[in-house]
Amino acid sequence: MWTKPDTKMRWWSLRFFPALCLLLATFAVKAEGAAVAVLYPEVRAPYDRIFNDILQGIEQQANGKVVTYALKGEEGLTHVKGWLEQNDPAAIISLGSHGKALADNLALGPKVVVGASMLSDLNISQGVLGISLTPAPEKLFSRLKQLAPKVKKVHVVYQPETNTWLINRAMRAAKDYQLEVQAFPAADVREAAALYKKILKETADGAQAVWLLQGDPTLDERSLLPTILRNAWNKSFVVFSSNPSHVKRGALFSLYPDNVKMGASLAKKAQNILKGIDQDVDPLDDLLIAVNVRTAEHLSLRISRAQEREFNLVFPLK
Amino acid sequence: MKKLAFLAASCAVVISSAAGAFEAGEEDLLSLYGDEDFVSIATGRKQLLSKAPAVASVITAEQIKKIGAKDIEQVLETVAGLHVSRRDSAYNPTFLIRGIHSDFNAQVLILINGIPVTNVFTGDRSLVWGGMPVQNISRIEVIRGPGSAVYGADAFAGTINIITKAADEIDGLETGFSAGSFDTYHAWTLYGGNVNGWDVAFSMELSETNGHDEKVESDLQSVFDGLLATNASLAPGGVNTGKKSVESRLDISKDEWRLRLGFQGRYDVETGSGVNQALDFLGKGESERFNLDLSYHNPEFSENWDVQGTFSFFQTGFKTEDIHLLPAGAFGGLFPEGLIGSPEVNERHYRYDMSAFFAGFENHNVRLGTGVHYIDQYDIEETKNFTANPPPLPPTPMALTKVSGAALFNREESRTVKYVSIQDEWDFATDWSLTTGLRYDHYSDFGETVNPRLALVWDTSYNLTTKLLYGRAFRAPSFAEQFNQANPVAVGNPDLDPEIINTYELAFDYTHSGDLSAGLNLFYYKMEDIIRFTPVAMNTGDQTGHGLELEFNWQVTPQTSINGNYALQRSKDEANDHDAGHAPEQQVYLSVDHALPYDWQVNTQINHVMDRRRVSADARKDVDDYTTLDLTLMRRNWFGGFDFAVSVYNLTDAEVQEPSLYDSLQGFAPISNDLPQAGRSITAEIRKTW
Repeated sequence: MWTKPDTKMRWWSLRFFPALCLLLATFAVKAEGAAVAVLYPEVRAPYDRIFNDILQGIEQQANGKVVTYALKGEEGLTHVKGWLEQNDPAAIISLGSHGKALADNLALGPKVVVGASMLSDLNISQGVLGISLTPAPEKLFSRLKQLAPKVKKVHVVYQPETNTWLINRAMRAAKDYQLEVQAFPAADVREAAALYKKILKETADGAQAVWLLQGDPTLDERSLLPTILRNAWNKSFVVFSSNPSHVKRGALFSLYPDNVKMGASLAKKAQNILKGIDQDVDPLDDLLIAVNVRTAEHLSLRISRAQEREFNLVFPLK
Repeated sequence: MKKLAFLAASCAVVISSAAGAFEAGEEDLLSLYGDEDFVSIATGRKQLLSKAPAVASVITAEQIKKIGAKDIEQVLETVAGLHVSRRDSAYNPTFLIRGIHSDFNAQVLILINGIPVTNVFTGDRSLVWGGMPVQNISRIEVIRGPGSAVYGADAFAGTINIITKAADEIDGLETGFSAGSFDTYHAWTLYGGNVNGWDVAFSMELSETNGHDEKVESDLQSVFDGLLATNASLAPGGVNTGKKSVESRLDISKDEWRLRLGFQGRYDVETGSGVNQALDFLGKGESERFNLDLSYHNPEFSENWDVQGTFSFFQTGFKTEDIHLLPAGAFGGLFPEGLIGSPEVNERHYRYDMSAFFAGFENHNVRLGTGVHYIDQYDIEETKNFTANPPPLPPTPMALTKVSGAALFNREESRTVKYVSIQDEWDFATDWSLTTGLRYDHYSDFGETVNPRLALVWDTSYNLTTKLLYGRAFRAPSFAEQFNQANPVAVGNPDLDPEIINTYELAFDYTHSGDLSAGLNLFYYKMEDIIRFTPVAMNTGDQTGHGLELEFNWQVTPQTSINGNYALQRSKDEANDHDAGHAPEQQVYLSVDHALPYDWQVNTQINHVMDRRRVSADARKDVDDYTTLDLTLMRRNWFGGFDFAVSVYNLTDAEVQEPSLYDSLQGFAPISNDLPQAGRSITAEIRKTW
């Protein structure tokens, strides 16, 4: 039966809602004192979700307290230094592109671990430590063989100053997956365009694939990428990428960061660096997968329902 | 059109003034995730493909937030080919898709998490619907065209599926409060997390509003006043659109099991322009809807089987008090207190549905479905002070009495539905697939109906996908249409057949370099056996319609996106070869979203509604076109992590009217100057995630 609720009782919470908000705020103050300090850029929503997830992973993995500092724009180093001195953390994790600069400029030695940023050969030569946003080549190759087992040869264009370390690692990993990597160094976009033209001319069957490197300065996303993807569709060869937005555009698949797990790996790396058992830059092992099923069907690749369930993102979205 | 051009120009000014780079130094992340929508998807939950190829639109929580929407009505108005109109009684929204209009809007199926919220009494969502707030909505999927082969009854003109937020879509505890014009207040709390290994999402939203009170010039009582030389009408007078609302949901899941509980309480809902098209500031209604959905989903039931079963219970009902069908002094003083009739209806719906995907045949994906639904209409009550007589005789007065039996407007009834369905998606050649679906429904009252679905999809080129679709759908007669009694102008008929629609669609989806996508849909439909009160409910009349929808989404820069659509439709009542009326023949929508430095965001949307014709016998001039401009300014992460937003709706205070009904039995429109809608209004909002 219907009973008319007591209006006074029902609406009290609405009147006092702002007060309730303030009350809850008092419980949300973070504690101070830290084993790990995390510097991260303050970015607008929804991009802030990326850093929130990474912070969550760091907090899960770190032993002891974690303190965080949101960098606003080109903030002066003095303030950051003062904050670090005040907290005196055992390790520092610096996230985002500013992280690399901070690692240099703060001159705090090997305690700084850089994450959520592309790391280049130049950074490595400067002694930067951390985990690059670039997916580990062996993970990409494993997925490639799983989705398109007929692929034997992988073509990749790269800028030597940026990605030689990654290509060397890819060359080593390729053998384990019965793949041959044809790597073409290019100094700039113009040189890369000529190389891609040659690759596209020679690539004409499902036994070959083109690997697009994320963040490589030689890949022109506006003009070159559509040409590569259109050629891939017309000639039925595989394009895979380190960038999930390429999958939305028509690449077969991409691996992209699992931000929470990446945060945990950064915290672990910081612990290992403190113990002196890790002094490297690593590519990213904590990865999710995006797959374009329209492209897969066009390439006559059979994707089972079990496989599809494993995919974290499936395009087209509807 | 001049006004539209002006608004478009102001929009452009907003964009150009907001130029400027930001997030300098975060190019790595921007290049990885691209635009905002993409980052929301990539950091959010896994997206599911729709159950069958269709012409569909999806609106996400992020998009809802950007346009400053507070109710699903505002969200749905942005969808191509869908216009949110209003009926006189309680100012309930009517969702007009592709020109299909009826008084109760029963031709649109609304689901919450896949379960219908349809009331069997009138086939709508409740005579006292009272809106639905949006803070706990994850996304809204709108499928235009027929969906009966999958969803069964009432997926006729279109299907709207509202998906609520799961635990992993709420970052801990979120609270918010908004206040705005018409004494409107809204407060909400959302929680998402893991409790002892269970994923738990909880939401509570409270709101109240006095509503706008735009003026109605004349009403049904004005007509009687003219005939009887009396002065009883409350018109000219303001409409009554106040209401209070409680919306709460709990979503608990672990492994294959999921339990969802939902409650929608709507109280002190006012009568709009009157239940009987005569202004009434005394009448009030309330409705309560409760649902419990328990589902089991095992995608790895066996090697090739993905199995899902759902049991759901849905209780829905409304009651009213002091409903004045005509005001005090009606019929020359025959009713000094007014003509009073306050109904109450309650329903229980039990559903058991089971579906399974089988992937054991090469190049085929097969979906099987079966289910049983039992719907029980009970506890029908009515308090009234008259006995109705056939027009033109006035009703006979009596003391205000709680009537029973044959004196009630309807009766206790029940319905059992059993169905089986099969769908096969066959990749029969490279770039080609054919989806064939068929659903058989058996209704305990009107019998059988079979509804097929065909979809031929061709991946024409790298940029283009072409779809050719055919579908047949049905709308089950409501209990009002079957069992109405004691009302000489709307008499029920238990022998009704369902309404039928056959729809043909040709759709093109085009993407250009990832930043620009566009869609063009062409459609033709034919409705048959339309149910109308004549005054006995009859399957009478056919309607045909054709038209197109053009949509685009353009990520101009990482900070700026524009989306818009244009819809055109012509619908014809075949009985008189005249426009079917009510719905706009053309509609243009444009939304510009721009991210500014320091977490500021601005959204501008323009909606232009055109060419709303009258039905055949209605000699009134066409309803005036209108253009509304809405502006939402948002600042996130301010003063310790609070998000602020201010929205101005109908910024130019345009005069917006929705067409009032024409009474074809009596030959006039009781509310002659249409239903006035809200002028300019403003809302300010604050929210925080703890």
